[in-house]
Amino acid sequence: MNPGHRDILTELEKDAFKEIINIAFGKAAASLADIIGLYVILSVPKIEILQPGEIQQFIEREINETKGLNIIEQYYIGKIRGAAFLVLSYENSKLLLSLLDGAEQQESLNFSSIAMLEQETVTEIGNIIIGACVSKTAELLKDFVTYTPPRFIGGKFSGYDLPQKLFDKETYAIVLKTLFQFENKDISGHLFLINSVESLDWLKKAIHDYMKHYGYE
Amino acid sequence: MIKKILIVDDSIVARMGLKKAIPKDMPYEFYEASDGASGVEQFKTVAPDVVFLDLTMPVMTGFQALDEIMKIDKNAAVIVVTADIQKKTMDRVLEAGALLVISKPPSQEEIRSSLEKAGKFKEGVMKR
Amino acid sequence: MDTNNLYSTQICDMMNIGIVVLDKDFKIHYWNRWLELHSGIMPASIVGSNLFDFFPNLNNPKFIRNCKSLFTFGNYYFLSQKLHHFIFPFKPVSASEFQFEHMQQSGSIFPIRNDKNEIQYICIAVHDVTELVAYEQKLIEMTKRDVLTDIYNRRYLEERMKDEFEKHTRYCRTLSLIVLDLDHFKGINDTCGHQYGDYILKSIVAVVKPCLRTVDVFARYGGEEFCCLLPETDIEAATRVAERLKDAVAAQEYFFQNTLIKVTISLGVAEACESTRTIDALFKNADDALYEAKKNGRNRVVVAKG
Repeated sequence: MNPGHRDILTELEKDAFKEIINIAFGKAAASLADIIGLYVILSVPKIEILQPGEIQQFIEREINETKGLNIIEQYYIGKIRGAAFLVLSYENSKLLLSLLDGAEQQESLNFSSIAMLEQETVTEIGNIIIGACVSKTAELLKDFVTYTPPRFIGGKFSGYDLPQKLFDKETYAIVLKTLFQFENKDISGHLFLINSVESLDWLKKAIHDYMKHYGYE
Repeated sequence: MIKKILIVDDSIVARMGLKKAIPKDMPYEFYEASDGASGVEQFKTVAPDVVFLDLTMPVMTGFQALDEIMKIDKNAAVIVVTADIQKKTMDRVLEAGALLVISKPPSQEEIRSSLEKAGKFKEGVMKR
Repeated sequence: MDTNNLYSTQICDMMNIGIVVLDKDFKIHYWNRWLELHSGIMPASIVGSNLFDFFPNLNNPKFIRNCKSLFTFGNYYFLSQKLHHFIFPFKPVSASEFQFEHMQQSGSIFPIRNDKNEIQYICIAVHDVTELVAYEQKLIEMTKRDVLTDIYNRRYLEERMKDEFEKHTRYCRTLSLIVLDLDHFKGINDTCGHQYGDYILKSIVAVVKPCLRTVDVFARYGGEEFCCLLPETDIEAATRVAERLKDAVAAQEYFFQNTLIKVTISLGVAEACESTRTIDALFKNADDALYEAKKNGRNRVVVAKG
């Protein structure tokens, strides 16, 4: 299999993968609701096959905002591997902080400490949301992954480079995107999973195994 | 008697899987739609005996489609097939009038028993 | 497998990090030597116990939430020193310039799977980062201080002015500012030399500082100009402080080669109010008042017209 083609997955495989992601994210949302005590809605995942050079533009187009963002980045390594980005607006991060904890200690802190607390809380929640979505996807594909520490990469994507160890410029990446919302709290954000195609054969097989198992094939 | 089955799901693979899971003992007629809006349209023209409805879909979500379908026919037998397995979601669709909720991916057994229940519901033997 | 086991036990005991293994009920299954050393608790007396019985500080929603996430998703949890300061309340190993009550720690928590790939345990790994934090604090402290007088410098003053002004606008807190300047300082420098000038600056600081509260920010703005930022202080109280500073400085007597030298200061006072929309406007009001004080004969306090 040559991963240098945009049609590395057939339409049917893409559709099946999307369905797997849909189910995985559904499981993730249910567990998240249990763990952080908030009802989570995850939108229909979008799947795109993109070249590493196109990803930044794709993300910027999808989030439709270029300022006032908090971005968390985390890499995951298993048979599926790649980079996850969680994007929250600055306002939403503040709401999230007041929702979870730390709100009561804000009064006594100076402003730079509040900014740090916000950053740490967003990173912590990012860690949990990314962990939920990635691990449930891996689980359905009979894989398990390990993670690097989540990293707060600041406010914008421009000038950001994907790690070359994970993404070869010549190949394509399978990009998943979903919108998550904490219901009734008016908090929403974007999650991007940029999967490398290093183990494309494995992924195809995992998709087909899944389809067979549930009578889709 | 269940004869006409409408499957509303944006995923071809999910529709395929669902059809395969339906027992072959009856000459069912299948109708398909790939989003909520065309699902509602089909419901109007086909008047199916049972609807398998996904929730997360483009154009019109399953939640909205369910509301529309119940408006058209308050005795519609809608079986929600969803990946969203949060209790709150299940409560919400049942309250909106869904007959049953089954989680994705559905097993053959779940499909068979849900069709049975839909049949009884249609004959008036079973209440919602 | 056996050799692997042999290696891993030795590695865990020799490494300069704390390692504890827990199950879903927070029961301790492993406690390495590093932890034994710093806690004084032998593995035999802690293994089998609930973590929270020994460390109730960890029995909080955030820690439990993250451990639950680990058992469910198999992800990692990272405990940064910046937010948590410590995981286990241990004594610091060595005394440093900065006295920490507890050893500063950062750590990570990760899942341990059994041979069926199910997550059976979680492991907490703890690092001692006290020395690093001490260095960091020392550096941060250095960026705040004036080299000559060791009070705050202009950089820190401006940072705090921004913070305090924000509090003033957001929470309607009162805020006042005193700008003060040594009178005829150039004359002292010219006749007595710069070294003596430096001595005077340090002496003035030593006189002024005890007249202020610890919450006040006393900073050298530049040359012979100083600022006192007074949070939660209205213009009347600030004026009283300014008068006290003026009198305290004027009461001092300095000698240069047996000649008596009297040093005085002029002060401008201003309070943040509706017409001062920015911190710069507040500063300008105080500075203008200082200019008035200089013009009107020095050694006096002038209050800005609000």
